[in-house]
Amino acid sequence: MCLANITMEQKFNILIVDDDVNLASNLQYILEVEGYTTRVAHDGQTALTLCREKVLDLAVIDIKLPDIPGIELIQKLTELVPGMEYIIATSYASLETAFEVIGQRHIVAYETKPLNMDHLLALIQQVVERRQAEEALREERERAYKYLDFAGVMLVAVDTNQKVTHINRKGCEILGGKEEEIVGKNWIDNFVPKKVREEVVAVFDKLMTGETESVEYFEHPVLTKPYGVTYIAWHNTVLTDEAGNIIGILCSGEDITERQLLWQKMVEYEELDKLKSNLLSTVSHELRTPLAIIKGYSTMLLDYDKRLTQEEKNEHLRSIDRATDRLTELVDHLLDMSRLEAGLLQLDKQPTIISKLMKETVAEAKVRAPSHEIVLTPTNRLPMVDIDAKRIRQVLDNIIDNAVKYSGKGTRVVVEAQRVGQELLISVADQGIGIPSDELERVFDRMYRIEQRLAPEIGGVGLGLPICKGLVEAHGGRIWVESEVDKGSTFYFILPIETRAKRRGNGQAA
Amino acid sequence: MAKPHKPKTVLIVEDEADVRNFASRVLELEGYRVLQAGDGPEGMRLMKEERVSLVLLDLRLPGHDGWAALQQIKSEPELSAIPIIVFTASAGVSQRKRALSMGAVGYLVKPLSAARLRKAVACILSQKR
Repeated sequence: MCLANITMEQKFNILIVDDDVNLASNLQYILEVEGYTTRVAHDGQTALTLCREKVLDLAVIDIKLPDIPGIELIQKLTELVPGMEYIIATSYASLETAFEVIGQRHIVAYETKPLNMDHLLALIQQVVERRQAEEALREERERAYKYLDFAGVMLVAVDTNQKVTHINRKGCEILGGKEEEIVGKNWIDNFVPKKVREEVVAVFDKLMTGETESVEYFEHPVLTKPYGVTYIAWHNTVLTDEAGNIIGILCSGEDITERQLLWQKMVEYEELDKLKSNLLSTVSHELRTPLAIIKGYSTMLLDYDKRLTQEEKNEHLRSIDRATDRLTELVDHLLDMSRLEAGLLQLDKQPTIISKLMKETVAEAKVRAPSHEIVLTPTNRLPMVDIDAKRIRQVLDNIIDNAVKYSGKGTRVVVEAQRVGQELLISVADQGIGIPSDELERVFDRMYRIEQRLAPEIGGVGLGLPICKGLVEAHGGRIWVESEVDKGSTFYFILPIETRAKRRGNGQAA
Repeated sequence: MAKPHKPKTVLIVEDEADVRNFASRVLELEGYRVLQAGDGPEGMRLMKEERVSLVLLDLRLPGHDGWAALQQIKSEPELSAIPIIVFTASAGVSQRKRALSMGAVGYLVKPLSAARLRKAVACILSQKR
């Protein structure tokens, strides 16, 4: 037996099915000389059995077999080995059969017996070469996909219905899913955040309708698993078939999340810088104004003493008094803020009767703000809590004063305290101008002043809330606000109920 | 100190009520007629309606419109000749230079005593004929 044809990279397996034993044997011999591997079957059943044992590439089949008609056998074999191809050999040049088989992809040729061996070999050689070319192409494509997989950018191909047809490894990585989970899904509905969908669809339409061939550069985030968002800079181009029809869009995306985050940080810092200088000028103003009042009225009282009525003098002295209070408050706030930030604030915690504290606070608030209806929801069965009463009082006063400041005359301010599990929950609700939802957290930020934007005529440095936050958190509690613009705000804070209080209450004499 | 038969009118533009009242009272005691305004626009309105001899303008009005008010007054032909003394809580030299370059005739830093106020007003108004 000759050596295998050295141009063949892999052994080509041929099945010979013919009931003519001699013919089959001859054919086998010739094929093996050419270097092919062969198997012989003299009937359909054997052929099927052989195919079950080993994968065969090509079959030379006589249409007229003792047990199964050739065509039927081919069908059965195709089911077993989908890639197999067939050369039909027959003694009868039957037109009907010819018509039956022509056009079926896996049938290579229809040969009449006696077989022209050269012709047969040439046919088989063609099949071999074609298979090799296909294999090479497949390898080439796989290699290309491998390169795509190694690419540092994500590549997504979408069809004309916006369904994902391809995604590379980087893409799967970024989106946080498996290829199977992503391919076939609608790109826009599943991976593009709602607020940018319109924009992306517009870009896709431009490409799909042939308005532009490629869209240079635009950015939009993508939704990632489990609940994330990543910022991508995209280059999109159209994909066309051989005829030039647009069949989809290839999107090449670069992860710019880091860049985006840095950009956001930069904007934040710029804002912070602005707030800082705002704060300084505000503090400067807030300090100098009461000083101006004190200086002015005191010099006036000295210079014009004889020309002023007693009534007027008293009025001016009251103004001086008020101004010193204002100054004192500001100085206290600044000092508190500094202490809190330096971690130097010391709390004097004592077991405190909460209901009493609440009643006193609200009573005095009513005196300070007779223009508002300040209500304390009845407190029952509130425990004694270990707190620094003076500081918690400060927090309450501040929040209630804010409620009054930011709501109209005659409106209600409801103060409530209740026990929730191991915590004390206190709330102050007003019917005032409210706080926009994106600022709810920032109101506790020491450099943020909501007043400036919503109500510039209301003065003050705005250190109150940050100080309240510091004081509540120093107690191990938490403070937050819920609000609706033009409807009102409710400030909440919770304080942990220390079991120590109970123990102390039991252990000590009352 | 020769006082004119008709008292001269001084306009005070200042948003802090207590400061405004103090300045106003001192000047009244000095024999001037005093008008008060809480912000720039109100001040300008009064300047157009009345015959004002001198304006005392706080630069740090709400929303920082003290500077804007100064600019506007100086750019309106019927008002630009009226002398303006600015007061402010900020003592910076650059602020002073800027105010003067914008046309203010004088500059007063808060906190202000009654004496300094009356002297500054007298100085400017005695120069006028």
